[in-house]
Amino acid sequence: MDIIWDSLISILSFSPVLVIASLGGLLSQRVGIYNIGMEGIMAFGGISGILAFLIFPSVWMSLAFGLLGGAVFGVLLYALAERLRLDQIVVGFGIWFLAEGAAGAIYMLFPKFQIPSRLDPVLFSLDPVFYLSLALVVGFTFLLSKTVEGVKVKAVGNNPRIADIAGINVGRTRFVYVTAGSALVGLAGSYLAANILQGFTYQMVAGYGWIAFALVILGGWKISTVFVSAIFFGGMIGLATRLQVWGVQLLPPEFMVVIPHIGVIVAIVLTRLVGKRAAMPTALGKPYIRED
Amino acid sequence: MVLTTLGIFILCIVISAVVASLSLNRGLLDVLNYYLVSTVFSPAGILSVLRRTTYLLIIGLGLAIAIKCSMGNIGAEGQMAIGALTTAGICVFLNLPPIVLIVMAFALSLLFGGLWASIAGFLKTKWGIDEMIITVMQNFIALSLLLYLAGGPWKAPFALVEITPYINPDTQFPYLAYPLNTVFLIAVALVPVIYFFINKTQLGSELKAVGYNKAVSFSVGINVNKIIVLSMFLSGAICALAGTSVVVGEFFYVERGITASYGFFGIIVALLVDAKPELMPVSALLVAIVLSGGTALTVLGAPARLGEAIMGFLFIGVAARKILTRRA
Repeated sequence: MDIIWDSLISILSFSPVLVIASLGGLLSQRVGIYNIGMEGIMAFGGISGILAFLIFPSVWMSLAFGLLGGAVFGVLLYALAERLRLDQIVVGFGIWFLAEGAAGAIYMLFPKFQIPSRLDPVLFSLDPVFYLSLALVVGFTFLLSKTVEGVKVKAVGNNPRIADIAGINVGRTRFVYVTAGSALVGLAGSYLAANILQGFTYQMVAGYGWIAFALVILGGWKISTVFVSAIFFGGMIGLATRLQVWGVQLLPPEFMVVIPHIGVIVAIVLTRLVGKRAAMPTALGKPYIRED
Repeated sequence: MVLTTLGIFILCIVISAVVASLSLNRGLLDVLNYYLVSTVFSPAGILSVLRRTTYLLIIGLGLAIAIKCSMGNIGAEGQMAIGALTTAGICVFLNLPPIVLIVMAFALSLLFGGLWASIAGFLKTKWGIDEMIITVMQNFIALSLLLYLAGGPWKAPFALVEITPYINPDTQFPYLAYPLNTVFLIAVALVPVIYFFINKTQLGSELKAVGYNKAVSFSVGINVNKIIVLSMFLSGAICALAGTSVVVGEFFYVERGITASYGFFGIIVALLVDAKPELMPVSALLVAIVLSGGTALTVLGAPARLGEAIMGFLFIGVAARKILTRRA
């Protein structure tokens, strides 16, 4: 029994990375802005977290600075994509390389460093961030589906002109959700670096940012389905890591690493086969240009 | 537009020099001088810039085909890896006359790179699945396939890292002047070929028509789905040639990191000149200068990922160019 319990916990322990990152990507896309640079923002969140730990030795401070580091790129993304109306895909690539390059450059400035402690588990041997990720999911589900705020977000993401006419501040709504979303992506990166890997490496993010990006689309822009897929794929990554620790070799390790990447493709194809059309925010990818 | 573009490049070079001069505690002019000497003001610098231009140019040309058809192929990195693996598989392990090996390597790289990329085209036409997500995931899959083969079944005897044995010496292309290899000429020769294909052939104009307006293309009798898959096939095939070239013209084996993000930086090469093949030698050259300069600064002791961060600036600069020109 113990071993089953233990492995279930270790499988779940990776899931906050994908749950939080994909929620961040979803928030940004729901108001109409693609965050293509998630991969890089996670790396930057990771290095922010490690840097924070060097100054204030606490994993909580790491997480806070990861949030902050992510928010910086959220502001940049908002400014470039919405205010300057630049192509979101190209800008997204720019942010990806900028953030990843900056993370790598900062990493060089201080000696390689391992964080000595992890967050203490609070319940069922899972750490507080796991429960925080659940709380975020529940909180944002409530916010987006049961409150006036949710109606606002829906209007801004689907028809910013109507939203504007109805008196909603489109720019401010987009700013808030893009920044908050990007901050969550940074948080996911700092949790990955500070609490799971307990250190930063260049290849740390390993495509998780892109997987989170794909999960938003796989989950059809709905928090509940994005969450379920994030738990599923997070569990897959956790399981693969666990099997490696146990020395179980189902496949060569290079293939274990890309199972989630293949899985995402398969899952997206399967959802299309089932034929469910997702409710993509109709203004996604387009800056709002006010006609005065 | 031309001035803005050059301005962006000069800005990128200045930013890298400023960051390097701050982190190395050396004078800005000193660093700038070093930057220019190690890229354009010395024979060795020029040759090394042209070496990088080779792969950037091939990738840019490959991506142009997809872009003209409005397909977002961001899987060039993986397609390049497929080309490199195909080449190594043939030129390391097959015991045939060198000319046969080379022809096979090029032909099969084209074929496998094309098939690999057309998966995304197929999924797009069949179920409307976004090609960018598929191609970006394929990058990770192709690169891990490379690590698996180079570190497992294809690993060089006694090697400690992921690396294959050398390819047959008779299939190694000669140098024009070290480190510039004759594969550079292949990249240059490809420019008129892709230009002709896009602008002067029936297939090329159908491709552009589909990229411009699918509904109208369909109504004039173009097989839209076929063209979309074909555009991805051709795009992936050409991008795979970058992998073939890097194996037969530079490394002579396959190892981790052989694709060196050329597949991503090639996107800037294509976007800078609106995917016009005839202008791509210039944009490939500019991007190669920034890459070479970044590497040179790193050798000097500047942060290792400086070049990558500068590429980020470059992407944003490309996107910003339109409004910069509008306001000028």
